[in-house]
Amino acid sequence: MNYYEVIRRPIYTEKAVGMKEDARTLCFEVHVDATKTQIAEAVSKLFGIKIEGIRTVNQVGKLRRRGRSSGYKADWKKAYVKLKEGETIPEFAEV
Amino acid sequence: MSSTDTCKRTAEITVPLAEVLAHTEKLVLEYQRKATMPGFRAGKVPLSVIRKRFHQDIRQQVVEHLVPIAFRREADAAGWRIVGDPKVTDIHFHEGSPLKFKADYEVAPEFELGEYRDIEAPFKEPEVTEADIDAHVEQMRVQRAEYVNIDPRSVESGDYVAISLNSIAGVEGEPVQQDEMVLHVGGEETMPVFSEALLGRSPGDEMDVEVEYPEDYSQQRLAGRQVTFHLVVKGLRRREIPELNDEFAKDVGDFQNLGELRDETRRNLLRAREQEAQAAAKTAIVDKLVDTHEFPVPQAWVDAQIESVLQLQLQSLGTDGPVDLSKLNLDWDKLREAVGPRATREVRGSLILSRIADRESIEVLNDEVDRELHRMARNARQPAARLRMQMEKDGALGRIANQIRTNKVLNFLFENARKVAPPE
Repeated sequence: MNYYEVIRRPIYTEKAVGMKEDARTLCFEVHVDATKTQIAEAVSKLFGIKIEGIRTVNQVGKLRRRGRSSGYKADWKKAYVKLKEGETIPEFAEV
Repeated sequence: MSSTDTCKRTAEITVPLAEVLAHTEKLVLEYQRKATMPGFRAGKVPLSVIRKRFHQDIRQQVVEHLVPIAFRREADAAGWRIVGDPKVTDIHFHEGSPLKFKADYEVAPEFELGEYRDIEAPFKEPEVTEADIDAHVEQMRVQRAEYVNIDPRSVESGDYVAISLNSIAGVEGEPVQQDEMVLHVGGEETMPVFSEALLGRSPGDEMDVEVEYPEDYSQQRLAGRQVTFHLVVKGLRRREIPELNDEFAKDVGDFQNLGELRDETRRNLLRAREQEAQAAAKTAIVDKLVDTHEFPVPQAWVDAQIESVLQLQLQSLGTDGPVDLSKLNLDWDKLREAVGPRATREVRGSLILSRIADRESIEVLNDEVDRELHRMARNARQPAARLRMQMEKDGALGRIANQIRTNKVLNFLFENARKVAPPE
């Protein structure tokens, strides 16, 4: 997996912005099979920053119905990447 | 600040940084309240995000809000009398520095009021002679003439002939058609071609007539054209002019006898001529004033005047029926240029008049506006109150007051003018 396959997209929500500003933590959607090690490597290489720690969350796909038929959205993985003290927070993902 | 021989001025204005920041902050909060973005609850988008997301919008609004305010403040402080809207150029607006811009504007001209009393004006007290009244009454008789059918015979010169007419060729668009019209054969008001064609004919005859209309013919669609008409003679008429007696006077209007009618006619004629003579004298006075007062005039006012002159001209075109503007192929720039000098004079004239009004403290009383309003309401057959409301809404009331004031100034100037008999 190359870095761009590991990291699928930045997550830009109220919570993510809050954590970025208050807890120097970035938030991404990542590949479901990506490990913390892989994520750490990808983020630190892509943004040129040092990483203190990573927490990941497996999000289970939501139920979606279309009339009588129903199914599930794909499961996905979210990663909170905490930067080391004093690292400059990269600017990205502005809508 | 620059030259004083035109009304144009330029100012460089700076808005202090503190004010810029304060307004920016206000806008940021406003945007936060209103912004909805996916991933954020309504009204809860962090300020840092708002600042980035709406940076351009906020910037623009800051400029749009602060520039006029700053300009107005500067103008009030310096006591400029601004005309029209300023043109803002060279806006410098960078993060963390004061907002700077250049404004090109025009000011009302300053000028010394020269001599305005005792201006030579051509004016002669109008007179109405018995002959004038005779002519007028005679005209009224002819207007009230009745056309009576007479037995068919061949047309002679001086007869009145009823015909129907329609154009066969030469007219663009709708053909001209008249089912019933009366021509005076051999009369001055009838085109000679028609008279010649009709002479010697009898009722029931039909004929084609080719008419060449002069370039300055009063009906625009016919002027300068060669038109073929098909005529049918329908009958002969005799003109019966009412006899000139007390009976006629009663018939015309609220008169008991011929004497009263003549008196009224005299009054009307006198009033019309008086007005005409005064108007001419006043025009001459204003012309002289404009000639003797040389001062720059703000382009904004001249432009406005040009527009209103053109508007009037357009309206007068429209009275001959609807005009297709695209067909007229008007060159607006040329037209504007053509009325330019006249508009400049008119603006200068009205500036001078309003200065005289100030100097002589000529005011318009509310009563006077009321009276004018009632007069207009009567003419328009509308309740005065409704007209007033309507005019208050579109600001016409102010225009009326202005008009009255101008008239008063003109009357004042006229009374104080040196009247000289015009050259015959």
